[in-house]
Amino acid sequence: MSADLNVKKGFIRVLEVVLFTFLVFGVLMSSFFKYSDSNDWSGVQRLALSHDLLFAFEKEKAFESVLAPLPYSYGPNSYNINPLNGTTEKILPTIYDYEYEVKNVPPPRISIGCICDSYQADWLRSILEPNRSLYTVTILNQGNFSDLFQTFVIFGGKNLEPYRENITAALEEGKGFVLVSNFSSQPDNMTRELFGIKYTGGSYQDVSFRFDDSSGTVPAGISKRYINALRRVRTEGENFTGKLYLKDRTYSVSQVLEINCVNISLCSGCLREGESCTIANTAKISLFKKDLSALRWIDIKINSESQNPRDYIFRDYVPLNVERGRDSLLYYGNYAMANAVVGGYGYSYETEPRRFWIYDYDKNHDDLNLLLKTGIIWSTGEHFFISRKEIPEKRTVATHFFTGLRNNSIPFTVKLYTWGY
Amino acid sequence: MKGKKSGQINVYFILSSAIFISMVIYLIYALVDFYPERGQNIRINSLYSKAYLLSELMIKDQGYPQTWDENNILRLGLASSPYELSRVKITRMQSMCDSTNPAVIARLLNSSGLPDERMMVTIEDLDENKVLDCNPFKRDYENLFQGSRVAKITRVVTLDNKTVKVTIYVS
Repeated sequence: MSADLNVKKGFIRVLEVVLFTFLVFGVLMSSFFKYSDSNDWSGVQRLALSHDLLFAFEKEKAFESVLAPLPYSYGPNSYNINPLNGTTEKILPTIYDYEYEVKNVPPPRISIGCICDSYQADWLRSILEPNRSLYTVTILNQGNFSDLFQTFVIFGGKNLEPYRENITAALEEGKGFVLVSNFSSQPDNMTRELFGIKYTGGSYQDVSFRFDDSSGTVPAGISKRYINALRRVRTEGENFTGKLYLKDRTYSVSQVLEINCVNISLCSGCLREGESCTIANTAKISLFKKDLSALRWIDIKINSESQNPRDYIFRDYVPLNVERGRDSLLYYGNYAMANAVVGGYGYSYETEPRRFWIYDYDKNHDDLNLLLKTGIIWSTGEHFFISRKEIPEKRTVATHFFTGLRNNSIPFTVKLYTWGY
Repeated sequence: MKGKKSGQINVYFILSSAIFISMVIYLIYALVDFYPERGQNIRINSLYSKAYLLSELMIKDQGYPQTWDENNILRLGLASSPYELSRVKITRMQSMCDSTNPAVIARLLNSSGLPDERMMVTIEDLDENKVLDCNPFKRDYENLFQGSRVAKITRVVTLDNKTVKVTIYVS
């Protein structure tokens, strides 16, 4: 009986050894197979191709011909993505699909929700001209707040508290907000939170404002965009004349039909496209493009006349009653005239909302109009997908930083997503 | 109750021995089956690493000396700057590849870091026009790589401001 019991115990021991061996072997085999799985060079090849492609595009400046093609054209067809897709499809194996994501370049179509009246909406449309992007401006109320808009522009000192729920939802999606407003009393909490405004009260003074290039990257980024943005000056009448209002002075503009150039008062010489002139202590004006057919407009760039073109000084009679903060874009002493706020909501970089606020906006000033236009474009998030394909979770991403488009010194990022079928 | 007779084998002993022997046989089979495959994987990984290394040298490095030719080349590199190929260097490499002088071919293989491997390099534009067709062993693809595993790496660069593909085969 005891011998029989010993044999049974022995049998159980053997079973234990077998089970243990299976377990050990199972654990080791998994690591062996894991090693075997690491032999996936197709993934390495795909990633290398993606990175190479972006480097090659940088070398041949391919994104300039895609995102800023010449001659400069306006509207939705100004982005030519065909060469980009053509090259990518010839490089990537046919089993892969792809998508490009661009950050820090305005999207081809921009939809703006405006909390304003119809007159202000029309005005907004006029100052956004000219641009490569196609703009649509829709007048909003609480009922038609929608996530279809990339940015929201608010005119006047409206109480934003009733919109809190809509605004919070829009912020969570990284939408931008622009406020064009003065204050004679403390704004509501939503306005203060949204735009980083600290109202202190004060009195009217004659002051100069400038781009704050020294603190923070956001204001400097706006000034780079400002000097590259275009302001359209209308010319009319038999002599094709118009007005240019910079700082606190008006300059006359006239198109000279015979020699195809533009005269600006106090500007030496008649300007042709691509030429610049300096108005002493005011600005450097560059003629970018003119209406060759009807002579009804000219498109100009406004830079500082000083060594750094971004150091443009705005001059105005402004009530100094908003405290200058870290995000102040234009300031005088301790007081702010415009703020540009990004982030603060803890989202990923691509979806952090951008907010822009401008004080004492005067629609007669061309430089302030250009600043408002710059702020609106910046607030869109400047983020888009070129083909708007649905990107699966299992994909490879290659990211490349570009130094700018056509020497504008505004860095932008391109991500190339690839995935297989 | 009967006592156990001597010489009689217990059924549990037979069963446990059978299980144990089966297990040992299975393990030996699994190892014999697994290791050659692993060996192949190690080999192909090594080839891919070499092909990738060569591709990096070719598209990012100017080579050494920077103005190398077939007489003084120490390290192969086709770039004038990273991701920008030099047409002069491509022409020189093509000339070395086409050479019938074994010493020149040996220098080319040594400078590419692949003295003991079979390799081929092609550079072609997006319309598949060949800019470089380097086949130092002077044999066609099937003949050159017949019966062996081949690592193929494709890279993308620019040549004269146009996108081209560099493909490297190592076996």
